[in-house]
Amino acid sequence: MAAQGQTIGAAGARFGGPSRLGGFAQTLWKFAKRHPMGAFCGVLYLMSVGIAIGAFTGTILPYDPDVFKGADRLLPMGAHSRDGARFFVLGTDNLGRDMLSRILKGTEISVFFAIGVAAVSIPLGSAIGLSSAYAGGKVDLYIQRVMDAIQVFPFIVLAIAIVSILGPGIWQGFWVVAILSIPRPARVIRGSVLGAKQNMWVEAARCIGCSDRRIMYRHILPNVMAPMIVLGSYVLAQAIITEATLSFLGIGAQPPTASLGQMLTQSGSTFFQTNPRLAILPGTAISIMVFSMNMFGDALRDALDPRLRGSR
Amino acid sequence: MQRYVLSRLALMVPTVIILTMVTFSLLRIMPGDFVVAQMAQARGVDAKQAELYRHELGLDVPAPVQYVRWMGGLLHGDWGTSFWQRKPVLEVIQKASPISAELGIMATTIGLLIAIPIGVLSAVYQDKPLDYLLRSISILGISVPNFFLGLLVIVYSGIWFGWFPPLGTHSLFDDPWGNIQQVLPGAFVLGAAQSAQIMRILRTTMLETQREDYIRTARSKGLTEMNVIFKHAFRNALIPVVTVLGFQISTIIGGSVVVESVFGIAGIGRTYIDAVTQRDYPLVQGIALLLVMATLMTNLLVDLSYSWLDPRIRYS
Repeated sequence: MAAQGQTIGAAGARFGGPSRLGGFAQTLWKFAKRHPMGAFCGVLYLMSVGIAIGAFTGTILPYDPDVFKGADRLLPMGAHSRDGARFFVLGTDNLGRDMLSRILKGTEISVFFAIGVAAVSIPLGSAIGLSSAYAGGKVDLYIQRVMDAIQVFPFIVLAIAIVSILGPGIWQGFWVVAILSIPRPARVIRGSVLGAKQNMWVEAARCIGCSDRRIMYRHILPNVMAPMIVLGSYVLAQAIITEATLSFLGIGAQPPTASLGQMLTQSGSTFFQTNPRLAILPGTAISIMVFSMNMFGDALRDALDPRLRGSR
Repeated sequence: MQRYVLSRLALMVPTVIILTMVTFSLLRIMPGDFVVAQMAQARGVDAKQAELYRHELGLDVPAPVQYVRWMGGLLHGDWGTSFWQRKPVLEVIQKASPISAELGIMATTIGLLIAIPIGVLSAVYQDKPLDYLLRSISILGISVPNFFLGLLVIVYSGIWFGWFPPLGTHSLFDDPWGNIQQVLPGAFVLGAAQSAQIMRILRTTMLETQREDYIRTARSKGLTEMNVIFKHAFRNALIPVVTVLGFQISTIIGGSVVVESVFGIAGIGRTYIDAVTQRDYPLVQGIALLLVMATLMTNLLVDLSYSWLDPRIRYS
């Protein structure tokens, strides 16, 4: 029981926590050696966050992503503009905008959107799921019915309905996605807590006089954290895809904002036959981000869970 | 157990009623009604005609009265009449749902067929090259947005094989080949995304269960590796898989909205979106009711299966 209780503390120390910088670097190196793919994807993920910050401050954008120039329409990759003053690494779109700048800007929207959604939905969802399963009985029943009610409506369908009331836009989309993401962590945590509750060490903790709060947060929560980490990376990934889908359906970010999903629908599907680059580049950017989050989450999870370490 | 099921079923009633109210009010809050949507297309309809039209559709009375009328009809088995299609809502739903149900079932089957072997193998060969390879492929399925994958499937199968998904409605019984051609690519796109979610939860829990004491016991008893993995580890790893499958019903419905529009399938998802755009209130309400009931039933089945999978969990 004591060992279980220390899990989170030990993990915290291994991942930065209060330990020395050298120890931290060593931990990172160990992680990278054991999970090379996960470490690579973690670096990719950090890069996308870096790109998001860079695009937000405008320091890494070669050109303004929203300025059209009719003369430079649909230039191939690595072409100069007609007047020779600008160079487009990834070419231009059907309105003569620089594809590289637009993709970097779109990455910014995706990354910030996803982090915001995770920051709202995961803490709320786990608190709800944990209390619901721990309390059991009527409370559990009612909370689960509310969660059912939210989950009954498919994301996209509800988003379409709400956005047609609020008007399309990235913020409307954000709140819809954030609120609708709550039941998922709540349900997963609840499922695991229901199992964990049956363990002897919960009873033992109660016998030595632990309060409900202490049992919930110090004993049960650390034991059900592992699925939460997988779910966290999953929520991030899912939020990026949902944002892209909303924009693809025309109810997320509005033009001329360079959202990746909107690039796919706007120029991507119209010019797919002649210029597949316009759809494939943003589509690939979304896929890489989502892929790296998924793989990194899995690796982190393998590393954090004491039950998955060592030989079997 | 029986009491638990009955009380859950009884609790569904208020949930359904509240959700129908929510749908009903959301529809009325939306700017513009069916008459406005129609008038935008056919100009020259004056206010008086619009008034008559609203009266004919029953839109001239206050919303609560409309709700009571609709509910009353529902209790008699009358789901109302679609404004746009001018057919009973039930008939429209009956026509559109089989292909969507087929799409969903096929997608789940494809998802499970991909996920289970990959999940088990990559847990057994944790951190070996095979694990990385299989997981990368599977996770790629969830990382590519379904509209993008759908677009790629349509365009490249057209370019490389000269094959295009057939348009129109093809019944499974009258024209099975046309039906399969229409549904399979969409089901593949949906199933690819699903498989990754199932696979990673399965792998995660398989990794945990493999380190349990009872697995060591099973091994030391001299059971075959197959037996240990499937009879002992796999069954214990199933609970989270079932949870994920349970909440995937709304993922499937949502995904089918996108997939149905990309592949031109006339299913429930597309009908819903069209109905929302046209402000076809009775049809939207009917489909919402159907989806609500389907999801609630799935959730109940998921909760019940927990106690079957894990005898430690008991409902009383």
